[in-house]
Amino acid sequence: MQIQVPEISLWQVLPELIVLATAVGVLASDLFVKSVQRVNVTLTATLGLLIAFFTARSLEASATPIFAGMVVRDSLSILLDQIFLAGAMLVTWIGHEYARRNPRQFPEFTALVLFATIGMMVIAMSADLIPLFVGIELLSLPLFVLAGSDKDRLASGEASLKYFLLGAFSTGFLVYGIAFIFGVTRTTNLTVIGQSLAAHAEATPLLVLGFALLLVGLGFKISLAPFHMWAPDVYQGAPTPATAWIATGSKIAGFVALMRVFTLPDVSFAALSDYWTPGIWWLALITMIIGNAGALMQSDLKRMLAYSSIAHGGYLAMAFTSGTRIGAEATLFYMAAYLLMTVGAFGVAIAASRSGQECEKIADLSGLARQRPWLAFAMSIFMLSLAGMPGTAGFVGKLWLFGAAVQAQYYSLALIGVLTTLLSFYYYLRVIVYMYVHEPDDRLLFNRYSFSNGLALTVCAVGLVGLGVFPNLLWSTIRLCTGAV
Amino acid sequence: MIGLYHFLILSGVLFSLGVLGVLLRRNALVVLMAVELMLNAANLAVVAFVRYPMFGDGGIVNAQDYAAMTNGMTLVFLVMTVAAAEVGVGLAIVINLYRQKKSVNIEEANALKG
Amino acid sequence: MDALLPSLLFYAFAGVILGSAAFTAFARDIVHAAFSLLFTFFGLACLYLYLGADFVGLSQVVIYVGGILVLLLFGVMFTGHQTQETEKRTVNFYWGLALIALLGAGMVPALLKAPWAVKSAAELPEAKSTISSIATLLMTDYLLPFEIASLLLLMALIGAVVIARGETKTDEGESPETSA
Repeated sequence: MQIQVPEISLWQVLPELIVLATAVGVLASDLFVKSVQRVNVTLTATLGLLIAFFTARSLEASATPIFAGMVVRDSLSILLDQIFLAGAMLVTWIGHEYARRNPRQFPEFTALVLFATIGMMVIAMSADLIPLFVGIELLSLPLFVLAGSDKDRLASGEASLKYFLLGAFSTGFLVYGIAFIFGVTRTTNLTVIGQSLAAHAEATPLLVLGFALLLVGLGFKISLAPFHMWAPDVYQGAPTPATAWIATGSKIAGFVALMRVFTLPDVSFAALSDYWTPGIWWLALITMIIGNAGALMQSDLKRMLAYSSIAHGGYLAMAFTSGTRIGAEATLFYMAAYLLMTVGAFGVAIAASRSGQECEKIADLSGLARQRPWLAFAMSIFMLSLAGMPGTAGFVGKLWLFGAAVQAQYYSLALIGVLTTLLSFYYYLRVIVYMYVHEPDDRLLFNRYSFSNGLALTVCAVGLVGLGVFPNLLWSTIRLCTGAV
Repeated sequence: MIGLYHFLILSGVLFSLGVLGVLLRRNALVVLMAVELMLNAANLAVVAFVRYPMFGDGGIVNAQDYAAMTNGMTLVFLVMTVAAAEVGVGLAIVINLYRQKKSVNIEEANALKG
Repeated sequence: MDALLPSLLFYAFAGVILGSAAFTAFARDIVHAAFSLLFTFFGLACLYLYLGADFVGLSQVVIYVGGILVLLLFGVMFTGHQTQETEKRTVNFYWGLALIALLGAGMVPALLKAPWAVKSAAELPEAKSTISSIATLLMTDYLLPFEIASLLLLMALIGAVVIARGETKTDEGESPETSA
């Protein structure tokens, strides 16, 4: 038998390989070095991520799929790789601070963050449902473990169980959806699926069923409204750095998966948009309302951020519904901004601990401005950006998101978006009021926070303001990605 | 005569049983088993689709076509692999919680409240 | 009448699968549920062989029965025999019904409208062994997902050890609960 071996272009997946090598190196260091210095683990991870970041930057984009059509190294995947790698770096830095106080969770913590990052990068470059599925699993499993990695707190174990059970449940829907899509189109390759949709018009109901199941599966991962119920519990219970990576990396990767499946170039279910657009329209609407309404009532900081993250998922879904180029661009821009502000907010939650006591309630931030002015200032930037204050990346991003919805004539959706955004100012500003107006509890002083955490917060804050004032820095790159769309 | 129809119905019922099991049962391990039912339902659908393609002269016509469809089998194989990995991690998570609480009842997992 | 035997076989397997699956999903005793899952997995393996999917059928036995089910049973043994499960019709029940209704609403019209081609067994080509073509696919076209899946297994191993590992102080008799 003649076996045709496809071209194996390892060069093209070099960033992933570097991250893998770093993860394995971090794990192995525990074996060979007697007592691993935490600093060294963080430094190794940072170095590896930086190398991977610049390798990804230097890759040449090409729209031709590689590895027998499994993955594609287009400019979208290169941009997303950089976003994920930068996010992983920030999470490693704020995780360093957390691990300093909870010494039991190292160095596997960093390694698992890196494994999840590889999963995200695989999703970003998928051109086929199979790597997409395996990538989603590679992203989810480390996060299940990370959520439960704090064994001193019962809440952490419960969070990981809840996250795992719902994650596995959603995998069931995902696989069933893929099964139907495969059954009708006889392929899992997204490009071929796109081409064969037209040929099988009579099988549309079965295909619609397949894509609906796929949407349910992904809806769990990105916590769109009816499938969001796990998010507040998991965000609250998981160790804060893990929460940060669940809230950002996992959610962004889920949206990337949606983009890859539903809207990208000549792929996809674009032909079925009559069916899926109303579906996502409703999901976006409910998500925005439930997310913002839920956040109003929270006194726990991480739960509030969880609902806020649900709401932001709704905004992203809103732009996604539009299915236009500007919608895709706005989604990408907002992903980057969302990453910076959410990781930053969780970073402050880690840094603002008192001795022996993590910051849990919003009230725990009382008087932060007096004792740690820079921390309070950075948190203000994150909150204002989450709310969408002009001058921050959050504002620019939201402007584009709403613009995309208006351009696609989803006026009611955009209106709900604007109204809920106005509502959200209340709970974001409340955090700032606690930090600046409320008297500090004189019970305990805030801990000193480490250099790495300070660095992460600075990067996030500067990035947000920078992108808010000069959005073109990222915008031009994004336009390159969607130029083909 | 048995055709794709029968297999898809079987798979749909199996999937529904899995969904019901996940949503109704309170024991984390039983929930895990119900998830396995869902994954198995998906696998069954894929294999049935391979054997009885929906299009192309309404069934398998030539051996070449059949060979092309074996890519569905690799999908099934990968799903099984993923299921194994998932159960491994899931069991560890259940046992981790069991150590702390001496219970695997998910309704008693209520340390988290808003 | 050559079609009778395959039909009978199918219905027998389907009966075993659905019966045992329902028992798994609803049995009060968790040990019974786990053992009943064995019949589901075996029944499915038989159906895979019926469908000419030899490799998948054997993998089903090796992975599901030999691996996953044993792991689950191990979990059942480890967490003790907890039968006192309170069955309540929580809000989840209605969620479940809604989801299944949705699934049914999607599936029934889809099944009704789809252009079915019911062929008699004689018209189907002989099912050939799929093992070599799957092996070729895994090493060529599916190389990358295959490697990612192996990465996933490695990660699952590490993750399971990390999370199931007992306290570091006295670790005797508590080996990491992984054998995936």
